[in-house]
Amino acid sequence: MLGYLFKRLVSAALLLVAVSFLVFALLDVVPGDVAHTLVGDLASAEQLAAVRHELGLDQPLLLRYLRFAEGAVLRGDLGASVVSGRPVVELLRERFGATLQLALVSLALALVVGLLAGLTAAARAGGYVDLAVMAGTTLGESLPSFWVALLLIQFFALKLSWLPVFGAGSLRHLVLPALALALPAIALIARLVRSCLLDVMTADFVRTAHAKGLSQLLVWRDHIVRNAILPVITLLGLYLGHLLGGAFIIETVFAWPGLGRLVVQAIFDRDFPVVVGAVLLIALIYQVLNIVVDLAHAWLDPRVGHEAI
Amino acid sequence: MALNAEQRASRSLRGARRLPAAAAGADAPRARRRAGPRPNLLLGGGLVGLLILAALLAPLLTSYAPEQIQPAVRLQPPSLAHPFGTDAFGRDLCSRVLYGARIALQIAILSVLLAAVPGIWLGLLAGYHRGWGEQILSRVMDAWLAFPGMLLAIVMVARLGPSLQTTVIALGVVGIPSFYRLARGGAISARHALYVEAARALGLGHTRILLRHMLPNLASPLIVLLTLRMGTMLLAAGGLSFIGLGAQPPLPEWGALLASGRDYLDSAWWLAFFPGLAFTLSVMGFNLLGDGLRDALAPDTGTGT
Repeated sequence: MLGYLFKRLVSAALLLVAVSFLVFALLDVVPGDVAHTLVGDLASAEQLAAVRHELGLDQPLLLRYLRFAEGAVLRGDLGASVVSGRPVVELLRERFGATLQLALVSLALALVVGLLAGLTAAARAGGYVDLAVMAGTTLGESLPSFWVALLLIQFFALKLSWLPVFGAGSLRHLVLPALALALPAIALIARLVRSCLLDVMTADFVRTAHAKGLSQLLVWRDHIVRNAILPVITLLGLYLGHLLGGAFIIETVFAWPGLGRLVVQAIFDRDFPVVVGAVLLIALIYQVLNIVVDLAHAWLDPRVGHEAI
Repeated sequence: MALNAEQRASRSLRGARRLPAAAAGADAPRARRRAGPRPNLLLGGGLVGLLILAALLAPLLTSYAPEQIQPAVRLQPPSLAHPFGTDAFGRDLCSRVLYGARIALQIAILSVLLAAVPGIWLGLLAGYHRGWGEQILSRVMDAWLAFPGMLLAIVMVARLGPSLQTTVIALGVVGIPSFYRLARGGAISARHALYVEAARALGLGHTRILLRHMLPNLASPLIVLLTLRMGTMLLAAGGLSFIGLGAQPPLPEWGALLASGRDYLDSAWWLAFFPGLAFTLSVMGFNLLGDGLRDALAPDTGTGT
């Protein structure tokens, strides 16, 4: 187990190095580079060169990457924003809280609703409830979240004026973005819970459990749910990663001051130190969640051994 | 093995959840009893057919050009002359949505092909030849998958500048690993199949065996993934356009239309409503068609349960 964990950590670290270098290199030779953006179009060639020198842009890529990596690893320093001049780490810390809050609330919402819907559908498989849930999941998976966001704004914020259109600061600001983010997750979770339950419910060991006279409760608790829960946990872990690192669109629509909006804004501003820093943070979160999910698997399912990956 | 399939099914949120072998058996043990026409296939095929028709017949279905500005009819609600209303420039929204279908279809087809062709080819090669080449390739693809896809796409957009072309390229690149994994898995299980051995015994070249013998036999799950991916690509491209990182105005891409409708939510509801509806129906069409094809093309997954 420890050896497995160690292997995973090493490969995660390698991946982060690869990703950081890739992103660093990708964003390096931007048409109209940062120095140009800073001094403006009217600057002379000397001014441009001076700014480039000041930013270290006149040095080779590999050297700059190594210096960046050294700062990141040894001092936790990811450089400074080109636009505001503030340290990237500080910006990330500021924004991460908002993203985490939104992600956790929408994940909890999706889990409760999705679990309930999936359970009811599986318990009454083939019935009207099941049909309705399946239709709902099909719709939920096809609705673009940004359209849902607009519809929510239109109805709850503009027409009924119950909730603010955008921004952050109070619980009321949290409702609409959390709903918009939760909706596709609800569909995914409900469908997965239903299909896993149906799979397990018809398995031989469940029939055996029934046959040897166990009560419904025990069969469900010890046999069905225990076996059906694994893929759901995987999905939850990965979806949390998706919410923490992929909520660009919803955060942008609702002007939610999180990581996603930071990245989008930084791309518009050509503020590449911020982009690189945020991408690294998100990749790190993904890796950590991946490892946690795999460990949870190994812990819950003794069949998963070290050779699994 | 079953566990592995489950993991594969749920590992990637970008559609791989529906890798055919994994999800099919679980999804439908009861629905399968229903014989006769398959509603998923019919409805999905119908919706995708509608999208194709709209794209092909756009010039015939509307008498306005999508970029035709008519200041006299700014922000008109839906009427007989303008079934979906008009926008802030007096452009006919119905025409823009119909021409948007062309863009949607282009995005879906091109980005999926960009992902599928290299992904499937590399996957077939890796699964057929095995060896260290496969090891390295698979590691790279795993790393690729372990990284949030939209983020990768956004970084590429940042590098290349926001446009429809960039979006399609970025989404294609992001989509390669899932095709790779599916094709590789199929090739590994098929490399010792009798028909492959027979082809080899006849002295056929590797390329010919891969393309003429293996690929047709592995086609059904790949076709299912292709179809499902068209829906996810459409969603992703629309999302990028919506936040300004994809197709740029005045292109009538649906995500961009939704973005411009955003400013008129309380005064001109139709601007965001109709593009959103077209969007949803198209994505749903691809999703249902993919599900339906999976059930139709892989009968073996159903009969066992």
